[in-house]
Amino acid sequence: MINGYGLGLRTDHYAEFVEQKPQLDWLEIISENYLVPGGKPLHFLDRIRADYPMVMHGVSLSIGSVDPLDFVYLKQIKSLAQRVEPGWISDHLCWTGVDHTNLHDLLPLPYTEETLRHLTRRISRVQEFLGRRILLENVSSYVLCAQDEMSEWEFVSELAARADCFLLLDVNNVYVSARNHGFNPHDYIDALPGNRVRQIHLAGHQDNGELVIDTHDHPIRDEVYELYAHTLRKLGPIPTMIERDDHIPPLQELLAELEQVRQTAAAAIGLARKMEVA
Amino acid sequence: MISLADWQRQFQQGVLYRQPPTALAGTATVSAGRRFEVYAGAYRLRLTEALKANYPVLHQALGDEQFDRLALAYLEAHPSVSSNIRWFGDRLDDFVRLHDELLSHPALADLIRLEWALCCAFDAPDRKILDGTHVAQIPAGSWPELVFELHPSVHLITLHWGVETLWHTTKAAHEEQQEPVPAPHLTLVWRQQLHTHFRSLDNSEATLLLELSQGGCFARICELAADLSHDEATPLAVGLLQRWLQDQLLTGCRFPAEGVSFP
Repeated sequence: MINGYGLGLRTDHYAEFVEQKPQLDWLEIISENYLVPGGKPLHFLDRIRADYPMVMHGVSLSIGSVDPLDFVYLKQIKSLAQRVEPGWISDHLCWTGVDHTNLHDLLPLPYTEETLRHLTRRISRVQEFLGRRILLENVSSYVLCAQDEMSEWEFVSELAARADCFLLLDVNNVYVSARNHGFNPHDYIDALPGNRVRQIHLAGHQDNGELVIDTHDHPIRDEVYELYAHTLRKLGPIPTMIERDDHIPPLQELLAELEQVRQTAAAAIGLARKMEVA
Repeated sequence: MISLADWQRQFQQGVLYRQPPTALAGTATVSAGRRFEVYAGAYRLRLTEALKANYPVLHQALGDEQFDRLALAYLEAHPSVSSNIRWFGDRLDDFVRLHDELLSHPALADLIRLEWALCCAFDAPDRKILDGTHVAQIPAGSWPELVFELHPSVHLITLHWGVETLWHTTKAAHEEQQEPVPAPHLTLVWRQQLHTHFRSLDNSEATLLLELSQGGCFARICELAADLSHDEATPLAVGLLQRWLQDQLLTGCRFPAEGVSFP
């Protein structure tokens, strides 16, 4: 059972997790880092898994691509899941390449009925193959398709219902996309089906003024804390983690940042309960 | 109305060739072209970083500017087709054979082979190691037929230059670099427990280990040892076998005629 607050497992922190076993509710692994035959990655994965619950987060499912689903990759994910016994498996609501090329990026989809139908079929096949419901994460974006038929939040909510999947809500990504496309991030959060949001990501970004870039290499910014608090007031407590992908700081620094997340959450949920009572 | 397939193909072509697709929505403040450039730029940066992660010493030896030029040329010729970015750069060795103008010294092609072998050894499959205790239990009469199995992390690579020194001095960031000298030889790359290693082999060890890697039995290895050192054949073969056991290169042995494996 995954509850509370977690961090993304990064190689820089392997030794500290093994030797010092810091207090932490759970860890998220990047699945692809462990889709290797052996050696150090799997050695540390097994040792750290013995002490911490884990969830698996992938970047290569390419669920939105028009290429056929990659069942070689999915078999590897299924096999890794047997080893890790994760709380859940997640990936991104995006595509990463087409015609067997992989751009290794989380690319935006047109928000259309055609995309909804395409994704619904593919998510069902993946969930059937893995024998479990998956979580899909909203990605940050810098462009929109000129022929979008609905907003991103309408698209995400409709998809979750049609495909019967869960959502991983990246609050930072909502903020980044809201700034880049000029919508109110509260509209996005308020429209989400709360019972389907099973995990939250928090991260930092780079504010370049006209465009905000989702770098995941900075501490969480105040405006994202504010949106996180709003999210919890709307949706209630949800397992939350900090996702730092670059400029990885010392573990103690991330644990201190996670404490700030915990306090923000406690204040937001406390306030929401007071409002309910009143 | 653009189809999903057309959107993806136009978008991908746009990233690969830096030409924004037509179906993008811009805003008054930021054009669609500037927005799209975030993806095109990030693609090149991300894949260049992935190549640096697999070839860290080559990156140090070339410096940022030259390495980036090599990375972008490679990326243009060989976009990733793997679901895992960890394998990006698997064809760099072949690529530089056709584009040696991208390397400042021909020995760097050998450095590429060495670094890729280290990369493959790093996360090669795990196996139980054959140790001296196991070997001591093998009946004396079985030795001539004995065939040893190498750990999956073991790579024997042919190099034309003495790049091992270059690897060490570059990694240690020594200011004074000695220019590599031509020196054709075989280098052994392997993983011992969790740590990768390499060492260049002298002619005797190269000959015998190559034979072992190709499935030669112990009697054949001793014959080759006799060709190399008539008077000291047995000490040579046994001494090297002990070293390979210490280095944890061997995972098992078998008697092919009897169809028996050990341990």
